[in-house]
Amino acid sequence: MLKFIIYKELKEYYLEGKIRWAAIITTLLLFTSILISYQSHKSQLLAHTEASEIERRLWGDQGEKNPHSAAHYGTYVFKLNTPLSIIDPGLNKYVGVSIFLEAHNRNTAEHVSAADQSGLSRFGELTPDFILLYIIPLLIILLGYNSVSREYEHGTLKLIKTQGVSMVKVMFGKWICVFSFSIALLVFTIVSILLLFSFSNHYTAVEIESYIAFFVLYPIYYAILVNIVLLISGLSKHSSRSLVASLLFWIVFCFGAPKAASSLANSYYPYPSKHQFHESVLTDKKQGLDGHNPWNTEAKKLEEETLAKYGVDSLHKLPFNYAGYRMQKGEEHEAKIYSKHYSELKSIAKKQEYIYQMASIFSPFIPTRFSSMGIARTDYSHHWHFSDKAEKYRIEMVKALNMDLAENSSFNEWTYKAGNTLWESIPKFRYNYQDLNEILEHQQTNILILGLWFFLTTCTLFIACRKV
Amino acid sequence: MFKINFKNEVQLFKRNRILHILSIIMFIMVFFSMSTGKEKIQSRNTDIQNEMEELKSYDASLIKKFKQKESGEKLEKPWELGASYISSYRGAVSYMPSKELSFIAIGQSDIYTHQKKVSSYGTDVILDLTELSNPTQLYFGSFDLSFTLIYLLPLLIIAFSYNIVSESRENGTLSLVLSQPLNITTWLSHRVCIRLFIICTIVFTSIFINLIVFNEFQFSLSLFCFLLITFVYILFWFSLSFFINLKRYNSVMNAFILFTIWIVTVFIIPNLINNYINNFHPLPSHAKMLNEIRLTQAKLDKVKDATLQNFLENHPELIDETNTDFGFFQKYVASKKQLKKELTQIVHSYELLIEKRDKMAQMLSLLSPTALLQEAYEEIAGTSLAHYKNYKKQHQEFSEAWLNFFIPYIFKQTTFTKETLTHLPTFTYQTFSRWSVIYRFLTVVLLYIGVIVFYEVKREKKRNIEELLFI
Amino acid sequence: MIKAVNLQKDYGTKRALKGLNLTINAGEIFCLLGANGAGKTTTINLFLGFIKASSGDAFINNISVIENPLETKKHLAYIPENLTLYPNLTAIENMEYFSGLAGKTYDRKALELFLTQSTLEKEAFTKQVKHYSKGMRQKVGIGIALAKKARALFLDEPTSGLDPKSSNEFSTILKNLSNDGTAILMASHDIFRVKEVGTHVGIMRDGNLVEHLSTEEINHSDLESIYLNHMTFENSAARTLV
Repeated sequence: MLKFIIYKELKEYYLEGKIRWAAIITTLLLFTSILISYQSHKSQLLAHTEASEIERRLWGDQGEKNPHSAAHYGTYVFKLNTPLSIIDPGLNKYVGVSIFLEAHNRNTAEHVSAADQSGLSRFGELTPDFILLYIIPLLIILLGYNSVSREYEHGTLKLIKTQGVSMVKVMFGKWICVFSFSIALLVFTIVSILLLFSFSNHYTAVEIESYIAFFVLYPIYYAILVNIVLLISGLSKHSSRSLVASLLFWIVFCFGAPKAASSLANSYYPYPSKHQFHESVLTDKKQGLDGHNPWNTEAKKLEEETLAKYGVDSLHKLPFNYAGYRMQKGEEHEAKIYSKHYSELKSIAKKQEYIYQMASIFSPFIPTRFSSMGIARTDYSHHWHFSDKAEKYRIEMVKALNMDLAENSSFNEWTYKAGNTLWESIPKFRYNYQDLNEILEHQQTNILILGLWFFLTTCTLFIACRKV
Repeated sequence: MFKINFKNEVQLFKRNRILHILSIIMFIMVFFSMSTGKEKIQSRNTDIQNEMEELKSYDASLIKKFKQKESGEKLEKPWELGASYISSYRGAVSYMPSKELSFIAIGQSDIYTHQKKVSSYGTDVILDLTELSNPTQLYFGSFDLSFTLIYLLPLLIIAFSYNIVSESRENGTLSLVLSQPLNITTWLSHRVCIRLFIICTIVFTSIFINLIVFNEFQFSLSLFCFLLITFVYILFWFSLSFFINLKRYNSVMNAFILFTIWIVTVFIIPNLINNYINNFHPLPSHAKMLNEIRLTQAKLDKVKDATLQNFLENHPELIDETNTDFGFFQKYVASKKQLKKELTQIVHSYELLIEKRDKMAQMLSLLSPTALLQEAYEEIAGTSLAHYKNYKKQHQEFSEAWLNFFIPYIFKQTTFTKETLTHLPTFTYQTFSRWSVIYRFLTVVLLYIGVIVFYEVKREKKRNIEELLFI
Repeated sequence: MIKAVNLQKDYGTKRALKGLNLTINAGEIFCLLGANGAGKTTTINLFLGFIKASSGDAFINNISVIENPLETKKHLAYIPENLTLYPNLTAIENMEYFSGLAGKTYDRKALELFLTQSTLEKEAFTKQVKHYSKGMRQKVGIGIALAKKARALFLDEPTSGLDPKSSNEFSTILKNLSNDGTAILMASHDIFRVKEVGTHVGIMRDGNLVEHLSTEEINHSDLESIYLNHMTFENSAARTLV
């Protein structure tokens, strides 16, 4: 029975010109977007890898200089995107790609590529995620908007019911047909990318789990949309109304809800301006963490404690260069201040994320979007992860330089110079992406919301079928 | 015929509940989007004001300290009254104030800051004007008025006009209409114009009421331009509806085609343009520019003394025979000047590539009325990339003037007094406008409209009534 | 007056109407009988200018439909088979609109008079048309035709789907119009109604006018026999083909 229903539905799709064209055009757009995205990823990877190497060379070739000068000269670290960003480049355009690591300052990531582009760039690009998240849902609408309503309009619904077949089965057959197109395109996407990688040796076992994660996430999203479209088709009884209603849902899901959530998130939990942020950091640096223990007071205390510890009465008599030691302690103090302020920023970001999760009540697109970016390691939390790792490296790097000054020179010996051996002894910055388990844990709420959407829409469709 | 069509359309509109609901939704969206824009502007102006207030209060504390010095009191930190400290620590502030209609399009204002400290310390050749923001917000964009008008308004127009002919056919009135002594193109154009009038009334009333509610209503050239380009955009979508209505399709197909045109116009074309630009005219490599800058910095770092010597040779007026003891800050200033000279070339070539890319993007935007409209809205709001580039240029020029003001004080050790404080250079923002953007939108979109309408009017004689009636 | 001179319509190789010659004078009601696809609606559409003739011409009050399509429309009125009108408007509002398109403006009283003449109940005048039955909508259609004061009236299956009472009322209205001097061309399947109301009957088959009779010369059963004879011949031909 089911196979007859599926066969008839597929035949009708095949015979309908606009569906054939829509499917062909979508496939072409998807293929083009995959190629473009792959090329873009490859060239960016090359550029950043090269830049990292040059930067490392510059660091190593500083020649002889005071370690603290080297700490001020600093170094740049560059973010390398995962191959998964080919499917979903996420927020890459809107986050900085390089961080300057220097003494005394934790800098934010620089060179946001969107900052060098006009308003046209804000319209978006043809990337695989654009097709998967925005265009395939339209294809689902095209396939399903009149799936049930045309049976009313042609008078065939009564005929079907008199054949003694259950409406649940009929609906399931229609559901499978609509759903299968979206899955076919998803499979096409992932297989194409894996093939591209296999030709260029990008294939890695670690990322396979992530591809599987994509393969679980997107079908749930499509299943929710198929449920909604078929429900609308069944309830509206007129194809034109069904089409308009389905499109309205698409607009609310994909644009209205996310933009409204963005505006509300910024309204209720605004970020401080860069100036306010730096002023707060400066104030804490001057007045001490939370207004207590300003550094000059702490420095005095440190001096007394150190002299007492080593049983000497003058800094010159210490077995190390106290200036270097004090600079390191000062550095640790500053790092704590930065940690506090960046944590506050993170907590604002978290509260903003909460608004987006609330908006997910109105749109299954939002949790899918966030989960997809999470799996591709192109979301905000991944950027924080990179930034935190860079900060950790900066602290270690500056510590190594300060301690070299402390251990290898004497107090007030500002002519001390270290050489390339020291610079090269500091290991290269290596960054490992977040584990998929970490990501899935972070995306728990989004996954739960999607699950709820799926459950509710499926139940509603099932109940509606029985009442037809 | 126009009068009777007008009466008929108004009667139909009055009894179409769905359109009433859509109109109310449009009003609410205009309200919400305007309030989003207003909030952003208020926050921007508050930030600028706060920084100016901070500067004022710092100056007040400096004056107090100057008075203390004059009265012979010993200051805890006497260097705070020195030219070097004032030029670097106090610095100045450059800012880009909002325009009267900045709230209509957030544009690039969510990426950039609108005020920046000017200091003699640090280099501004590679000036970073980006603001602290959540990239998720940047990605999704804001629900501002330009979004409502560019993305959502065409959907209202489509909902309102996709089935003028097809619905008539489906309800049997088309054959009655065609049995009257009239021209179908004229009849349809009357109905399209009347619906255009109704939509404009709904949209402009929503805008005017909200302008009054938000206390932003004032007659100005900007407001006129904004309304004019919005009207032309509405006209564009109605001309598309006019074109599709005269084709042999049923209501569902009309809705489908117009919606597809919406997808292509609002998403696909701009996306494809972006893809083309990014692939064939990619952004020059930041990383590469950074490497070149770092190399130059490293090179200059090694020759600070020589740089200072070179600088003084070029500026003999700064040599004071009585004082040749130049310290860190003098060397720093000399190096900064030299660094700026060398980096400017690197940055300039990078910016030239970006400019070339922008020009290509502008040319390709001619294919997309939505991209042109976004550009026009950003121009009126003062939130386009060009505005921020111009602001950056003004900041850098002021930065140069600021440093130059202090150079005699830094090198010749001229005394910095309380009176000098009142003569410090202050930043004045020079308004930046590009009327060409507005003209471009109007010319190109009116051309598109003209082509569509002219084509249909020309085809009138060959029009096949059979096809329209589905005979 | 309604006149067709060698009126022909081809769709590719298929001849939908073959050289029709027909004259309907003022006061005459000419009914076209025939099976689906016989050419009845094609004939009406050619007179209305909805389709272009392949050869020959049609005339309304001696004005050529091909040469002056807009001018001929001033002199004709039309009631299509499925007349739904503007569902959210009342009968008065629908009438006002279509009269206005025809260049005729009437006040409310005059419009109500036309509706009364079309035998629509007074209570229905101000109700929205979406609440009307088919018969009531047909009456509004008649009202629109009356308001146009056209000398030629075209009707396509006007009694299909109407109950006997409404059909009867409809016949009476047509007779009154014909007595006023209107030339009427009506396409129908309803043999009884055709005999009842028509002055002349034309039987169409495969685009040909195969029979032209005066209803005064023939009774109901004869008409039926002749009609069925033509239809049966058609059926046997179809059976032979199979």
